[in-house]
Amino acid sequence: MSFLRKKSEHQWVDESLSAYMDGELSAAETERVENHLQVCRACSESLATIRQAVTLLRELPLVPAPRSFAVRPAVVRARPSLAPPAWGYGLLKGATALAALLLMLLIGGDLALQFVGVAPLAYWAPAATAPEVALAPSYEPAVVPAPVEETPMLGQTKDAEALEASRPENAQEVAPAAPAPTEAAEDYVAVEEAATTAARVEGAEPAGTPTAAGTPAEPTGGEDEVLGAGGAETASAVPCTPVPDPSTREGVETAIPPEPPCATPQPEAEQRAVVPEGTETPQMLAMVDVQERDAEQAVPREPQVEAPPLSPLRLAELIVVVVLLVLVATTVFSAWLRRRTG
Amino acid sequence: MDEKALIAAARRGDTRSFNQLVSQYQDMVYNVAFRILGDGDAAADASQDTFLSAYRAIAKFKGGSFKSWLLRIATNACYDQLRLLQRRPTSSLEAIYTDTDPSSHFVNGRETPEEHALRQELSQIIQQGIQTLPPDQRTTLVLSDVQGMSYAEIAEVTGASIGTVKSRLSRGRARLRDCLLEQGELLPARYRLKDEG
Repeated sequence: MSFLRKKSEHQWVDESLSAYMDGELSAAETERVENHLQVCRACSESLATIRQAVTLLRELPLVPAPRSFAVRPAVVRARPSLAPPAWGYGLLKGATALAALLLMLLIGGDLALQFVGVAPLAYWAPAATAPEVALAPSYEPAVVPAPVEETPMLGQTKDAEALEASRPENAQEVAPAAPAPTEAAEDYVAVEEAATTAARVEGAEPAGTPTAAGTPAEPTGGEDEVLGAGGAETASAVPCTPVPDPSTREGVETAIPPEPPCATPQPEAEQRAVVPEGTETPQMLAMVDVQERDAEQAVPREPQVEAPPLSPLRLAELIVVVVLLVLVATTVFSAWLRRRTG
Repeated sequence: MDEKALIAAARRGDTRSFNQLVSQYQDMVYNVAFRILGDGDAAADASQDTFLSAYRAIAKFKGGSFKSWLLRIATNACYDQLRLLQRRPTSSLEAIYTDTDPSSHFVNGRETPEEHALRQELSQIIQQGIQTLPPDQRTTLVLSDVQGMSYAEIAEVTGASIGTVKSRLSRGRARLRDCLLEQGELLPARYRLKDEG
């Protein structure tokens, strides 16, 4: 215990030698040091060497100023604006380093996506563009319809000409394709049948007798009623219905003959119906053609649309490169300015 | 015109009065800066910065010791220069101590060329020893043993307590002493530290 106390006393004195030498200790401390110096040779030697070192320091010659540091008012005002502050320069360097690091990370990520993730990208790229192609006409109606109406017209006229050229031979083939006249004719036949059935009901004729037309007397009244009732319907349904003269009183026979008159105008109706029908059908065909053509065109057009807009990663790289260039230029300029202004 | 009148005129913006103060203190400021930094150019830069900063801030000077106030600005400028020197790889210690020590070029009329060479060598060794100290110990040592300031003045300049000044000075001196003892074989016998007691 006394050894530790003695050691701490030696340490305290050793640390106080400098102040003791300068006379900066209190009287009690000075006495304590002097008492220790009498018994401790190491501290005495330490005091002597410190004194010598301080003497050597105080003998160092004064180094005069190499030039005048007089202040010029112009320099005082101009210099602060020229010389950037030290912290600003450090901040600039830090920002430059950060931008460079960010660029390296972005480029690394880009390379990693290109080389590591090339298979998934190549696999998913067409699948991702396919819906755009399919939906392109419906999404862009303002752009697509313009060529749709022009180009199909050529096909439409060709189709119409082909139809007209083949119509006399294929009139009956074309006619069934047109639903409107067929329905009209069917309506007409249905009306006729209703008329005949009504006449039969009226005439109490047994059903299933096709030769009911042989009873001319009774059905005439029913024929008139039927014609009065059903004629309005047929007139509204088919304006070209050639109503047979009821005065012929041939009853049901007159109901059957309307077919030829209606069959004869049917080609006209067909002809009229084919033309409007033809305008619709080629349009639909043309629309299909246009959609197919757009689909075909959309595939080569796709790279043109995808190429100019950069991917977000590339865009970020570009921005960081520009920022980095600006920062590097500013840093170099600041370094030059600092070196120049000192 | 005394110092107070010059300070008062400088506070009103009189550059000529301030420059009289500059001419009065510039050797002291440069000498302290040189001993702290160990580089003539850096010491000149620190001195110039010191007087420019003092001129801009003289309105904030509330009285007291103008010398202590100026040395406080000077030590701060030296710390800035030390940071710059640490970032500047061209300033090698060898270049500093062998080529740019202006004190080694002064020839005392009474000393022989041999003595001049010995003094030059000693000055370089001491300066090398100072450079090995941490900045706070270095500043305290220079202010005390080169500039001859009291502990209270050093405490005012550095903003530290007297106890801290005492501690820094004790450690700085002991370290410099150890450095000089290590260099003992290089020192002339006259300047060699004798640890025999």
